Amino acid sequence: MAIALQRVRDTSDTAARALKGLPVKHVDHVLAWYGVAKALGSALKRRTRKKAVRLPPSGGSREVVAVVAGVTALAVGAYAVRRHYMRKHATQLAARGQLYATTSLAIQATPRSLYDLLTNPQRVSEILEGIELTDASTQGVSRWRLKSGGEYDVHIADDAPGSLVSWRIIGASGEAYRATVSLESVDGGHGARAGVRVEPDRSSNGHDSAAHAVELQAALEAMAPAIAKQLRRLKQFVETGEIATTHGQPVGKRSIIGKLLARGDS
Amino acid sequence: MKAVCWQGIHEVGVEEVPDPHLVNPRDAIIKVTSSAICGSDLHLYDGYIPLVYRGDILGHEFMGEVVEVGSAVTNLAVGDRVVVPFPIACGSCYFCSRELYSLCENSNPNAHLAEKLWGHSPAGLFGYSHLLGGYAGGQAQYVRVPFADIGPVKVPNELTDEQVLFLSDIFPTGYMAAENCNIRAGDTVAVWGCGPVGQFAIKSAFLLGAERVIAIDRFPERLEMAQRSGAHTLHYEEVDILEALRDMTGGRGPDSCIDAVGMEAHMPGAHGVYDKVKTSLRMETDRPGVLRQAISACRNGGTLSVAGVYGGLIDKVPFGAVVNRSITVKTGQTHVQHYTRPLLERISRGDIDPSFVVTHRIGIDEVPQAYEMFRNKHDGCIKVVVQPWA
Repeated sequence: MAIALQRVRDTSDTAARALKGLPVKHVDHVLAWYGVAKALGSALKRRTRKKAVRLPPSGGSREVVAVVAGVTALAVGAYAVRRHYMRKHATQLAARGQLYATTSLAIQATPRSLYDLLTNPQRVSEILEGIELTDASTQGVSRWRLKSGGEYDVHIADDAPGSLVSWRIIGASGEAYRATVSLESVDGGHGARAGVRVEPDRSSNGHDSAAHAVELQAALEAMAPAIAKQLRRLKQFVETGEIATTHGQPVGKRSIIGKLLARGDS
Repeated sequence: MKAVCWQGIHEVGVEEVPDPHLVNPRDAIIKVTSSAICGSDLHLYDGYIPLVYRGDILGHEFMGEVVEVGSAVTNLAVGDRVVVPFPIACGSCYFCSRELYSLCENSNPNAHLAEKLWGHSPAGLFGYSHLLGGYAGGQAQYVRVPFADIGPVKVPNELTDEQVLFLSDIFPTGYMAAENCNIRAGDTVAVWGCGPVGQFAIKSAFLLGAERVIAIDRFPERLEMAQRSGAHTLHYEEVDILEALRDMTGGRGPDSCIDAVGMEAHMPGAHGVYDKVKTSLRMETDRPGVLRQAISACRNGGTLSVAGVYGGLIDKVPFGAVVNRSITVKTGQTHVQHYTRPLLERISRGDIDPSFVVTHRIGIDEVPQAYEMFRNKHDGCIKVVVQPWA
């Protein structure tokens, strides 16, 4: 296998030179795993020929086993390569402060009226889905509970009336995020662009390791659709006074798959 | 109540389901007195529209009597007789304020799904897949109507259900298709598809001043109905459509072409086979034969108006012809709320009686057979009206 890898490495240098702009090590990774897959496939093929392992007697079946083994090795290799680059990418983003989830919507309201709504936890709690307000007795501080579990303290961290409000969100286990809503006038003053950005709170500790950066990136990726959904609910509430839904409507007999899929409806 | 539910490809059934109830303050509950099966319901029936689940209540053309209103609905009262537009619109968003109601930003609760497929989401529709909101439809005895202060239009008692029912969809759809052609006196308009929308496009083209309308189909009863409206007719299996249109317009081509067929076009020859193979292999979602032909036929600088429904991806559309021959393409789901009142006035004045299109009247229990009959164009079927309480 070592020889196979060396051969692949030699090939990869040539390939990388041919593919200008692609770093040698990237090509190296892919081709190295190709080498592993090929070597594994050949080894299995040799072993099956010697009947060292019990396999179906036909030559065709042996080929199939060799191909499956090769493909499996390739898939494992591709996964490892992807994981390596995801970790690297997440670490780089974290170091540059670019680990965040963001979304925006145009809303038919003035920035000031949106700001007033967003800084009123009671009114916000009427809009958000899956989270409830448990305490808002202190000015600028509130406590929220996720219906799926978990409690968060929310402090106003930055505040520019009519244009920006930012909260520091701290979970029970110490994880901290910062959520910022920026507001700007659009549509000739008839509407506002509301931009939401959620990111790990840089003042909290422990998010500089690669593993933690990957975890944070995954958490933000999971959060992104929920953030977009909550912003859309805000828009609907502001523009229409209610939130569009089909919950509770009549429906005929669903299949099992239909039941599962329809659960995703709003 | 009884409701018509989607049960699979080429399968619909009448099921007993719970009655709807008010959910939001701007809702109303309508007792349906008349409903219809639309040509675009056949796209659901044939499995061309994604995200339709077993048990979904179908139907987006309906009217009836208001039986309950939410606290925020002040323009309707219990007992009012109303016709309901098929797009659900809030009336206050960026698009509604521009009367582009079928693009309402607030009525599709599943907007994120539509955004994935189409980039942005249009409005929610009654009974037309979870991609477009997942709302229960109007082929039922009762319907919950969201934003009831914007959509439903009260209709006078002297007009029958069949005269006003089609204000919910096909009359405004045909009218918008013709209006999009920007018809001028002396114009020739070619209409592909003489189904219900095509029939209203023909009538509307004349109402808007077209000198000549050329109707294209293959079913004799549909061509006869188009002829009765004053159209010249072409049977696409008997003549070469491009050649015939060129000949009828002195080589120039029709000033405007309306595609009232959409995603399930039947075309003779290689194009038809090509699309059938590609859609069967899921390498293309729609069959755009009419679109290709209409682009080729349209005169230089003319207008192509697409009223037929397309859902996904098409190929081999000669877009080079659109660019190099300055063809204007106009399309969209109908902004029904923009048209209901002016068209109701036209009906009241006697300019048009939309009931001309009805060929079958049935009770709700007969709907499954009616879908099959309508799909296969049996028994001269052009438009089926459902009376859910008959």
